[in-house]
Amino acid sequence: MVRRSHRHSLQTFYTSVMNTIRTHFITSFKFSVSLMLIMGCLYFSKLVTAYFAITFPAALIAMLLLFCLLLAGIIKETWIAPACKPILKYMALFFIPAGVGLVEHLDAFVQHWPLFLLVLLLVPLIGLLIVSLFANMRGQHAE
Amino acid sequence: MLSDMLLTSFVCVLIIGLFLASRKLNSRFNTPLLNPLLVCIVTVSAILIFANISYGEFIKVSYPIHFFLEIAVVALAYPLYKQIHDIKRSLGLLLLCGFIGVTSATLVAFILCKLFVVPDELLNSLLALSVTTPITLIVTDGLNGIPAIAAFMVILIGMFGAVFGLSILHLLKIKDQRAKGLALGVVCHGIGTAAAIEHHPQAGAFASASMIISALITAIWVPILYAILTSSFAN
Repeated sequence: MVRRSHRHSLQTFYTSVMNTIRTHFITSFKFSVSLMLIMGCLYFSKLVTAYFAITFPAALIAMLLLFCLLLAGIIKETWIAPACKPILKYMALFFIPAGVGLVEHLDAFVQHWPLFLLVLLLVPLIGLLIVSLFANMRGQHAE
Repeated sequence: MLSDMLLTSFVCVLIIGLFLASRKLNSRFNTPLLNPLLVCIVTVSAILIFANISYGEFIKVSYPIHFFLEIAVVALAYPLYKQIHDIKRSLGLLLLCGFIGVTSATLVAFILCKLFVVPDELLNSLLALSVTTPITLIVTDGLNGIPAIAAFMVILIGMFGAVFGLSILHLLKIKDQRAKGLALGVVCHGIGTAAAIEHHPQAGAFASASMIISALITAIWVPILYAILTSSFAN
């Protein structure tokens, strides 16, 4: 009796381990495939920009390319979701090395601080003013 | 070789740890002033300055993280596609507002730079400020500006919008939730969108849609506008 229940628990343990391995394998496989699709778009765009000597950033061309492929239905939304969702969720992490480049330009802030202050105040103020008034006007028109 | 790899993985793990910790901190206090990215940038910069490490050395060891920047930009096609499906009806309004917002931000920055007579490199860094950070980094790099300065200003503008945006819109007597969301999404991108989502669900929906649309418009329109502006002010 005891031996049987022991064997039984071993069996459930074995199947649960196998299930976990299987789900992890499927998840990582899906993630790899969708990452590969994204990287495919990126490196294709890099090739194109290098070949035609285009100054427009390759990553932006790749974004537009992927967007058009999605719209055309050539790439399905579900194919790229497994990589896009986590990448977009923790996206800010990838900007840290570029953002730290600030240390090389601290003197620019010291030298031109009035400009930076004005840009910081006027760009959002004027933007908010123009866009909200325009949208408000259009919204009333539509009704 | 092996020690290089060890150092790289050590630094990357440190950065990821710092990032996760600052995300925790932000969600605990729930204020736009503790923006995780800004906290990380300031902390790492301070460490580099105090330890007397050059940026060139740092970027070399943090390259695996930097590598994902372009991939993240490409991945933005996914929310763009998802949004396009949801907002087909107001697409015209969103495109117009995004266009107006992005153009006015670029023009204001351009005029200010011309008034203050600054070096070209600095001027080029301040032209794509009305977008989400990854697009700023890439576009500014394409314009031969300094991506780090652009990213820093973009985060500060987002914080400004999240803190004062709704009061400014209240002063302007804007009551339409759609207009509020549109303005915050176009001008103050991700950080403003977070504030709009907290304020009202409809404002939040329009903010996230207009943020992604203005990313698209900036990517296409700002390089063209830049060429027009610089060629007409060449002397």
